[in-house]
Amino acid sequence: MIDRQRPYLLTGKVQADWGAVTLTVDRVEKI
Amino acid sequence: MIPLTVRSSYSLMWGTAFPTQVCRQARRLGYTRLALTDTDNLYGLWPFLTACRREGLRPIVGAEVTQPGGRQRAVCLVENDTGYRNLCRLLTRRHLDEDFDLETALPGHAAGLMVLTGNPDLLRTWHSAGVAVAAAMPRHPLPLTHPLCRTAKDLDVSLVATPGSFFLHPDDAPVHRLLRAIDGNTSLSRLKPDDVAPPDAWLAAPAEYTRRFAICPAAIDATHEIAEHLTFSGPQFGIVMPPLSNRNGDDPDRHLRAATYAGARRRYGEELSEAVVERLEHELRSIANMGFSAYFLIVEDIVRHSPRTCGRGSGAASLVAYCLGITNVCPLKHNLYFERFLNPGRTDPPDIDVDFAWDERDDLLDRVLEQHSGYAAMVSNHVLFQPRMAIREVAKVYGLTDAEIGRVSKRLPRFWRAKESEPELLVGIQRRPESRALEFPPPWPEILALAQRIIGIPRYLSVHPGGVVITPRPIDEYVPLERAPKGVPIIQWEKDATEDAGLVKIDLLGNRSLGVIRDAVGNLSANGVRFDESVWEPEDDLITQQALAQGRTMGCFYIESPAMRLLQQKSRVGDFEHLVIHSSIIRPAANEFIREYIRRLHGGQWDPIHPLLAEVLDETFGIMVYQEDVSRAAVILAGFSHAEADTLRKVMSKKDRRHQLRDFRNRFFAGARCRGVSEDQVAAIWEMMMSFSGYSFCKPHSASYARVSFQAAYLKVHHPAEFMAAVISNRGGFYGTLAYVSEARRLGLTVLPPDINTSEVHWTGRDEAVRVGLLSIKDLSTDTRARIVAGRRRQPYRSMGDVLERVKPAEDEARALIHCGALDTVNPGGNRAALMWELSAWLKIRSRKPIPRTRNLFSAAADAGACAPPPLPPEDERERLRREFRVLGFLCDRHPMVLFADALQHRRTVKAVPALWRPLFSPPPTTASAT
Repeated sequence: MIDRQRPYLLTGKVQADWGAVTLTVDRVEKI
Repeated sequence: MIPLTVRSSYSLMWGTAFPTQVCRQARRLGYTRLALTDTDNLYGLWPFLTACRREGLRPIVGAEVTQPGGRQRAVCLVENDTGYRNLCRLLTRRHLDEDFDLETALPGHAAGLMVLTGNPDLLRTWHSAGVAVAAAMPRHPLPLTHPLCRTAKDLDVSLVATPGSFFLHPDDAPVHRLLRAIDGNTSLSRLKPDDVAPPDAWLAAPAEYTRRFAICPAAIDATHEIAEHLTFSGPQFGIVMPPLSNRNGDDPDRHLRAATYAGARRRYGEELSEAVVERLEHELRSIANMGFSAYFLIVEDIVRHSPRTCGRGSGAASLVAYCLGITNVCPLKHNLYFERFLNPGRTDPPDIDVDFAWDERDDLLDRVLEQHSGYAAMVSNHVLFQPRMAIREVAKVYGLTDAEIGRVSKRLPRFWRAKESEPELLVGIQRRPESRALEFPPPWPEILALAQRIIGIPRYLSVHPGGVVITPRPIDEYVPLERAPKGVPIIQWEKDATEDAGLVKIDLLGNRSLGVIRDAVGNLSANGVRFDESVWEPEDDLITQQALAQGRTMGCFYIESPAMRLLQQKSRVGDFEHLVIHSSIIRPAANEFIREYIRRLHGGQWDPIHPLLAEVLDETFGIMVYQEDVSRAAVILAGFSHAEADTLRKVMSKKDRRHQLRDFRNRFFAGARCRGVSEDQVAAIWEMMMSFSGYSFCKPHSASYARVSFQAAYLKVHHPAEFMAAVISNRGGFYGTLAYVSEARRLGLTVLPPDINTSEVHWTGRDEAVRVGLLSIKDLSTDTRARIVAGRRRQPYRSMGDVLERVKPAEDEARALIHCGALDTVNPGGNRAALMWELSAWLKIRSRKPIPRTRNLFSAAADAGACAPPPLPPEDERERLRREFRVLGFLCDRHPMVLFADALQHRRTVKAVPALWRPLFSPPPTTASAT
């Protein structure tokens, strides 16, 4: 995250299905 | 001509063709009999026997036995059962005896064997020892003056044509040479003639051999004469059950009955209900009739020494197994049918598999192997060339450097299996998104083409994760043994062959979550919390059920994956019965059925897929969920017998199912049509059945696992600190440590930093906090961790110098301890740079002069202390956190994303907070209580 990994900004469509929320990612961007 | 010296790819790194291909080619060439004589092994015996049956060939069983490190060898062909046992023993000695000598060892194991040798001295020695021998004339006729021919004539033994084969066609020779180069870790051009088989070592047609041996047709005739005597067509063991351990002739049925009833009283109390007695009597009768009593007692003996186990597989359907403590789910309470486990129609061995805590499993295996020494061994695993390994090895033979190879191989998925790769490897690689942009200049196309040809060829043997075979007679009478690199004896067959042979395998597997539960309960006990596991019924705890219904199960055995948590959230149910369904339905090929299940669970209308299946699938809303649903559908809809249906279920989980499945499909469609099932219905049902292929569970297995899931979930809900500490300590869960630390924080726990005077090796939990264990400090060796804890028990550490002198860490270890904050409590100034200064001074003094024995313990530290640090600038917080993260992989007092708050300020981000979660209500736990 800080060192070996990086944070990313995920962009996509948020959906609720029977109360469970999911994000279908269509773009990944380094912060 | 009958080929008597044929090698398959089980002559490791010599042969190129699998026994199936060998047999198919032999049939095409017009042979009716064939020997398989792989070098020093019977690895391929069962695939060979199966292939012979399929191709209409009469098999000849044998092996080539070699002198380790020498050139002497003998082809041993089995005449009868005695010969088979002797061959197994001889091969076992070849692998296990350090001073094995072929010349002297063979005569003692020669009864029932026909031995072929091309060595005139061995021919004479063995003949005089009474061994049935023949002179093996390899490849081409020898002159009559050759010593072998003269010796054969002197002894009046047959001179037989044995043109050994290592591959099937002339154009397979390059593959053979490639394997030899890989095996020798050399290049093709450096292979010496002795390193490879002659170019004509392919399996030729009878006419070709007749031509080659035209000047001595008697040598060809001799192959027929020898084969006449070889009536053995494979071992017929029946089902080989483990014996009662003491082998003293006691009646196992009586023993089992007594042990079962004693266990039943422990489980249910002194007064047993009618239902329990009725079921026990029924099971005991079936078990005794099928001769499995001793087997149950052996397994009971194995689990007796382990306080925490989880029975898996269909064995969990047995009340007898439950009473013996082999399994932990009551089959009566959870409606598990015994017939799923044992019924008279079943011809295959029963299946009792048990999980043990992952870190206790090796000791347990050692104990079992020692207790049954000479009668037990582990099942082996045949490791085949997979695409990654094949490409890497071929590229090495072509002289490519590791960097050049890595450029391609690192972009290939680690677990890319042969069956998933494209017929054209290069095409497959270029289709993959991660390797699409790669270029493949020469010699890569050639490398990939050759790699393609070795995928699936066996490379070496490893140990099956937990399969143990225990036999009533010495195990090397059934199968040859070897010793695995880790030291345990292994049989030469992998699990499918073991089952084909009828050897009953007991799977003793490692399970991390059992370690998690053990450690969490142990932590509670250390905290003074009384936790009585004997009355623990986590399934009945409402608050645990509610947490499950919301998918709050990170860290919980088997139900922590994102897919499973989503399913739990969507289902909104968390009771045991539904969890059993969910643990089983969550299969890769079942997405469509999962969606439909959720819809029906929430009241959606549905009709049974066929009226005949209405009752069978009622409990799972008309959807096939368990393995047994497949078998029952086959029986009810297509008229399969129970045994046939069970075979279908098993075939579906096999790697090479395609061929057999085609046959089953035809029979299923035909049977269903006869019962008036429409074409659409039968196709839909078959499709649902196929979603089980490769990955599915029976209900007893899922119930057994759900019990462990519930235990984990209960501990997480009621004792989160102890539970999360145990999850992180046991490692190997679905997520990494950072994710579990974040989850601990979400649960409201404080993550206390590692501390030289407080941290144990493992993480510990108490009240609302978890303490980082020393095991999470990167670079800290196991020995140093132990020294830290042992030293502290004698006396707490008082200063940096005290730590350095008593623990004596290596430099990188000391740096890690400083950077992760483990020494902050012995650093009154609070600036970690001062500790680094002290460390440098200590290292400098230590490197300069040896410490005299007469000086006191802290003298070097005193010296170091004398070099007091100069005024140091205040620490940069970001740098301090960066170092802490580098050592631990997480931050103790915050989530690393907090440091990126500024970067996110101007973006329209949505926080994935658990705002949608419903709060848990908190009635007191139902059973095991905190005091």
